[in-house]
Amino acid sequence: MSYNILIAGTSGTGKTELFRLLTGKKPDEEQLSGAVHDGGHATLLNEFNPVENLIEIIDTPGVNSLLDENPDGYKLRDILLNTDVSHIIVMADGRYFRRTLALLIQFLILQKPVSLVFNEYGNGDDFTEIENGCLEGGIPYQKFPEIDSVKTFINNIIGSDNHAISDIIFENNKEIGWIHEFSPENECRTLFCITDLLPPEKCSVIPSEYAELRTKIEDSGYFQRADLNIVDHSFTCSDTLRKTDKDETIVPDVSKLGLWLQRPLTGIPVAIGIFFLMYLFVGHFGAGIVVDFIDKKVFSAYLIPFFNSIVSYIPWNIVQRLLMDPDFGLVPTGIFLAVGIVMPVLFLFYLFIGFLEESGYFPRLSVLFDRLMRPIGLNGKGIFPIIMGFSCITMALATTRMLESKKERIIASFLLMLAIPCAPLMGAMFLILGNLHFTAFIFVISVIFLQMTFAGYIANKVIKGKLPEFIIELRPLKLPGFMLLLKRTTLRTWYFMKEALPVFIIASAVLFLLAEIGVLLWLQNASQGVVTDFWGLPPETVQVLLKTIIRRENGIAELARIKQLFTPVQLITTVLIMSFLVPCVNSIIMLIKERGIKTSMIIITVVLTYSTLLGGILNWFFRLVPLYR
Amino acid sequence: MLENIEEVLEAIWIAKESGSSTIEDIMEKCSYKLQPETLDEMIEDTLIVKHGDNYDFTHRGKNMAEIIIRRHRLTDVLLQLVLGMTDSGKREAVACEAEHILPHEMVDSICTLLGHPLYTGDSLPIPRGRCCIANRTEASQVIVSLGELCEGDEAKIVYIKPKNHSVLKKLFSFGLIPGIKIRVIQKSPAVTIQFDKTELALDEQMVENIHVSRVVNQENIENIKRKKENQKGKGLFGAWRRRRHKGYD
Repeated sequence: MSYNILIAGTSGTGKTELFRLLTGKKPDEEQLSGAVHDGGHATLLNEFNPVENLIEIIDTPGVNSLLDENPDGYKLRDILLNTDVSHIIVMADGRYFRRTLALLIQFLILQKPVSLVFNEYGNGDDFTEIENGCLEGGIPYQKFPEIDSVKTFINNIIGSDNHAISDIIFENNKEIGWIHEFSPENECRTLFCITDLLPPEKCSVIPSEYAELRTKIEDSGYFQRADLNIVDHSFTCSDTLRKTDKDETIVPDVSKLGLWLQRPLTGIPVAIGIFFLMYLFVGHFGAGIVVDFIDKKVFSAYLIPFFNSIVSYIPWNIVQRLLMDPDFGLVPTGIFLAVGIVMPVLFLFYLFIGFLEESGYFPRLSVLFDRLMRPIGLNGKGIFPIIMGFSCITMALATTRMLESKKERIIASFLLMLAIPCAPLMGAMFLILGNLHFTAFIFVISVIFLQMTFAGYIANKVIKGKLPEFIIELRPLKLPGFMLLLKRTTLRTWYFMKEALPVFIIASAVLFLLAEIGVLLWLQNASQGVVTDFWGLPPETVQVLLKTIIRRENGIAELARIKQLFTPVQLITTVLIMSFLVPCVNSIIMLIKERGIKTSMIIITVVLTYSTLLGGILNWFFRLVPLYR
Repeated sequence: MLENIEEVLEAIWIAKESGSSTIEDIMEKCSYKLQPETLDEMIEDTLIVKHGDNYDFTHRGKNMAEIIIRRHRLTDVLLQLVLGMTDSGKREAVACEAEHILPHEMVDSICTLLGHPLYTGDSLPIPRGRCCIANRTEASQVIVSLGELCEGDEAKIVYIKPKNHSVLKKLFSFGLIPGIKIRVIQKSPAVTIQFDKTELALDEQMVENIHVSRVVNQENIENIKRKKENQKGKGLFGAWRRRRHKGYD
C-alpha cells in the first residue's frame, strides 16, 4: 500500500517545480506548455523518503476551484475519484492566496487531509497573510522545501494532523457537513454527483436520497445551486480566515504597461513590433546567420566529407547512396537537416515564445484581439491556439480543448490545419525568403493572414453555434527568469527533436526507396498537370510536398536544399502552398484524436482543395502582376 | 459597542430637541439601559461635553448624531410615504435597525427620491445632508450594471444575472462573489476589473449582466470631477464622453 501525495493548486504557483524536486522527474511537454496534462505521477526519490513505504507523488493541473467546468477541473476530479489519496498539498503563492485558501476549504469539505505549502519564489511577497490564515484555521503549513530539507518536509506531511478541519467551515453552514455524513469515505463522488459534474450513471446510489441531499445543499445558501453555494461558502470562509474586511480599499497595483498593451492605439503597434522583433531574432539572426554558419563552417567543411570518407568503406553502392545521397540520403537530408537547420531555428523560436508566455503578454494580446477575432467565430481566447500554432500545430491542436464551444474548437482546428505556419516551417520560410527582397516576407505573411480571415469568416458562417462569453484572467507582467527560460526552451527543443528525428530519417528512407523503384518519377508525371501547369512550379516540387506531408519542416528544408531550381515567384508560391497544405502526419493523428474521424476528414478535404486552388490563383496572380521577377 | 454609542448619541439628540439633556432625560430616551460610565467614556472620546447638569455635543459628536438621526428619520418617511406603512411602532423598529447599517450613498438617494423632506410625518425635523444643500434632483441609481461605471470607479457586486449557469460558476471560481468590492481599471477594448489581487477582463455582454452598487468615497468623487474638467471643451467627442459619464453631480 503506497502513500499517495497529491499536489494541487492554482496554475503558476509552482506545483510542477515541487513535483520535479521531489521525484527528480522532468516535466513532460504538455506540463511545460501549460496545456491540459494528465498529471505527472512518480515515486518520491529514495533519498527523501523517511519511511519504509513507497511514497507516490501526483502532480495535478492547475484549477481555481474544485468544481471548475473545464478540462483541468475534470482531470483533477478524475484523479481524486480514482486515486486513494493519502494527503493533499495545496500550493500557495503570495498573490492568489484567497482562491488557494478557498480551494483548500473545498478539500476540507471533502474531509481530505490537507496541508498548505507556500512558494516564496512565486508571485507576491506578502506571506504574513498566509501564515495568519493557516494559524486561524488550524491548517498545517510549511515553506517550499530547500533541497536539503525535503526529508523533514515529507516527515511533516506524513506526521501532520490528518483532519485539520477548521470549525469555521461547518459552523456557519451545517448542511455542508451532510456531504460527509451522507456517505463517509465517499464524499468526492457525492459532491460531484449533486453538482452534476458526474454523469448520472456513475452516481449509483439510490436517487431519492441524492435528491434529498441535493435539495438540502441547494437550500443552504443564496444561489439555489449546490455548486454555487459551495464555491460561495468556501470563498466566504476564506475571507473570514484571512480576516479581510470586504470594505478595504483596493490597492491599484496594476501596471500601466499592462493596460497599454491591451489598448488598440498602443497595443497594436507593440504587437507588430514584437512580431518584427521575432522576425529579426528568429528569421534574420537564427535562420540566416546561425544556420549559415552551421551549414558552411560545420557541415559542408567537416562533417559531410568526414561521413563520406567513412561511408566509402561500405562495399554496397545502394547502402552508400541510402546514407549519403545528396537528394534523399539519410545523413544529409535526415540528420543534418534536422540538427543543422531545424534545431537552431526552433530553439530560438521557442526561446522567444517562451519569453512572451512567461511574461504574461499573451492574455493582454487576447484582450486586444478579442473584437478582431469575433468575425472569424472565435473570441480573444482563440488567439492562444493560433499563437501556439506558430510554434507547433500538433501542440496547438491539443490546446483547442481550452476553447469552450464545439464551434470554436472546429474553427480553430480548421485554421490551424489550413493556414498557420508552425515554427519549423516559419524558420525554414525565413531561410528561403531571407534571400529574397524583404517585401516577399511581408507578402507571404499578408496572404496567410488574409486567407486566414477569409477562411475563418466563411467557417463562422457555415458552422452553427454561439460564441461563448469572454472572461480572461490577467496575471501581472513580469520579466521571466533567464535560466529557467533557457532550461525550459532546451527541454522543449529536446522533446521536439526526440520525436522528429526518427520521422525525418524514416521520411528520407521512404523517399529514397520511392525514388529507387520509380514511384517518385511516376508521381511527378501524374501530378504534372497540377504542379507544373496549374501551379507553374518545377516538377521537383512533388518531392518537397511529399516530405511536407510527412513532416512540414522536412519538406521546407528539402526546398531550401534545391531552391536553385526555383525562381523567386515559384519559391513564394511553394512556401504558401506548403503553409496551406495539411501540416504533417502527427497533426493529422492529433486532429483525429481531438475532433473525431468525421470532422477531421471534412477538415482535411477542405484544406486540400483550398490549398490546391490557392496555388493556382497565385500562379495566375503572378502572371498578371509583375512582382519578384 | 459602536451601536450602543450611536444609540446614546441619538438619545442625547432627542433629549436636546425637547429642551433638556440631563442624565435622566437621556436615560429616558435611550432604547437600552444606559450606564453613566458610558457617558464618561464618550466625554473622554470627545464626542460630548458636560455643561452643568446638561450634556452637549462636541463638533464631532454632533456630526455623528446628525447622520444617525438623518438615517432614522428618512427611513421613517420612506416607510410611511412610499411603502404605506402606517403602524408607527413597526416603522420605528425598522428605522432603528436601518440607522446603523444604511450606507451613506443610499441615504442620499433616499433623500433625493423623497424630495429632500424637512420633517417626518410626526413633524420631527430631519437634519439636512449634502444632497439637500446641493438641491440635487436626480437620484443616482444605486444599483447599476458594471458597464455603466467609469475607469477608476469602485463598486460592490450586488448580484450577477445568471444568463447561463456556467458563466456564473466561472466568475465564482475566480472569487467574484456578491459582496466583494471591485475597481474598474479599464473600459476598452474589454472591461478590466480588479478585486483582491486578481485582474479579469470581461466582454461587453458579461459586463451588462453583472450588477453593482457604487461605492462613493471622496477620492472617487474627486476622480470624477477631475475627469469631467478634463473633458470640457473637447467638442463632439467630449460631449459624447460626458453623456456616457453622467449620473454623478
